[in-house]
Amino acid sequence: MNLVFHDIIPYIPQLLSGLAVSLYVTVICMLAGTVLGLFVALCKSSKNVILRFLGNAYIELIRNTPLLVQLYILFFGLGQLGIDISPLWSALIGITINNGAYTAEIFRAGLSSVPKGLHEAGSALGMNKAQIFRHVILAPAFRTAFPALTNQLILLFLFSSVASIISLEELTYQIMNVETQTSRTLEITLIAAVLYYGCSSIFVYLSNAMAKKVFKW
Amino acid sequence: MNIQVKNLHKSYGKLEVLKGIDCQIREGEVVCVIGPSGSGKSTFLRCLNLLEEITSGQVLIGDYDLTHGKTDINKVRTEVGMVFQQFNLFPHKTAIQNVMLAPVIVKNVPKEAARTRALELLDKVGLKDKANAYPGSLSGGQMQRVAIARALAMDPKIMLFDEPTSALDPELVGEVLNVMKDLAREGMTMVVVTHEMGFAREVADRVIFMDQGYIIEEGKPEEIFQAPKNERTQSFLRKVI
Repeated sequence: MNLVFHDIIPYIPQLLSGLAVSLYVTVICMLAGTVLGLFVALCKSSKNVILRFLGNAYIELIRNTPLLVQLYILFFGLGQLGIDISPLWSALIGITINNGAYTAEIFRAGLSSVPKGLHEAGSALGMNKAQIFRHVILAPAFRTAFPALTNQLILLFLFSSVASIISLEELTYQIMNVETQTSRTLEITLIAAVLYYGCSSIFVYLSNAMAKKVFKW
Repeated sequence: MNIQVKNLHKSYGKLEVLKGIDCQIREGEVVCVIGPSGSGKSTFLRCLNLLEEITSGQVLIGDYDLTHGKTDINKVRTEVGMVFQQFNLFPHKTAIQNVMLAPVIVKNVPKEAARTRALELLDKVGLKDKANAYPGSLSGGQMQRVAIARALAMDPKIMLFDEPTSALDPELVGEVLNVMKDLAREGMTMVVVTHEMGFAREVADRVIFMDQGYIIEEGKPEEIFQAPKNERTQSFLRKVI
C-alpha cells in the first residue's frame, strides 16, 4: 500500500474553506433549530388543538422524509417555480427546519421529565404559567435535554455534508472536488474522516465544558 | 383569614374521593388532618389552594370564593402557602434563590429587600449558613425547612402542610416539626395533613379524622386521641399508636 499525501497539499486552503462553511452551517442551524424546536415542543404540549396539530404535523412530516429530499425541494423544486434560493440559504433553511423537528422531540422529552411537583410548587406560590415555565421548568428541562442536544449537534454536523449535493461548497463538496482533481481517493477520504472526527470531538469537549459551567446544581 | 368549606365534593372520573366535606377553620387555628391513606385528606388540602379542581361545593378563603370563576386564584395563592411531602424545591436555584424567587417575580418585591427577607427566613429555619447551597447538597430535613421558608416568604395568612415529614428519615423529622411548632406558636393558621400523631397531640387545636372521603370525627386532640367516639377512629388509632 502506498499513500501519497503531497499531491493534496496545494488544496489545503480549499479544504479549510470547506470546513469553515460546514462549521458555519452547523452552528447557525443548531442555534436556529434549537429555538425552533423549543417553540414547536411548546406548540405540541399546548392545550390549543390547532397548535398541537401543527406541531405534530411538522414533526411527522420532517422526521419521515430524508434531508436530501427536503434540500432538493428547497433548492431545485422551488427553483422550478421561479423561487431561487442560493445553495447556502437553501442549506441554512433546510437543515434548520430538519433540525427543528428533532430538537422539538428532545425538548418535549425534557419538558415532560420535569416532575409535576415543580409545577405545583410554582402554582402554590402564585406564579402564572409563563412564570412557571421561565423560572421553574426551563432550566431542569434543558439540563435533561442537554446530552441529547449534544448528540444532535454532532449528527447535524455530519448530516450537513448532504448539502454538497446542492453544490454548497462545504467540506464534503471540496473533498469530492479534490478527489476528482488528484484521484487520491483513499488519501483524501481519510483526511475527510479525520477532519470530521476531529471537529466532532471538539464539539463534544466544548459541550461537556459548557455543561459543567452552566449546570452547577 | 378563615377557611370555610361547604359540601365539598371531588371526583376523578367515576371515583369520588371527597364525598361532601364541611369544615370551618378559624384564623390562628392549627388543624391536623389524620386518617388512613386513600382517605382523601391530601386531596382535601389541595382543594384549599385549588391545586385540585373542585367538582362541587364551596371553598371560601377569607373573602375569596375559590369556586367562583372570576376569583384570581394566583392572588389567593399568594396568601396561602403550601409545603409538600416531596419538598419540590427548584433544583437549579440555591436555597436563598428558592426563597426569593416568588416575592420578586410575583409580588415585584425589589431584589435586595427580597434577599434580606430571605436571609431572615433561612435564619428562622436554622439554615442561614446554607443560603448558597443547591437543594441537591442538602438533607431531606434541610430541604423541607428551605421549602417552609420559601412558602413564608410570600407572607401567607394560611399555611398548608401536605405530609411534610413523610419523606424524611426518622432522625430528620424533629427538625422540621420544630420549625412548624414555632410557626404555630406565632399564631399562623395551619392545616397539616400528617401521620405524626405526637405532633398532632401536642400542637393541634383541633384534629380532624378522615376516612373514605368523609370527615368521620373532629375535636380537640385529647378528645380524639383519648376518647374517640367513632369506631373507625378507634380502629385507626389502635393501628397507628
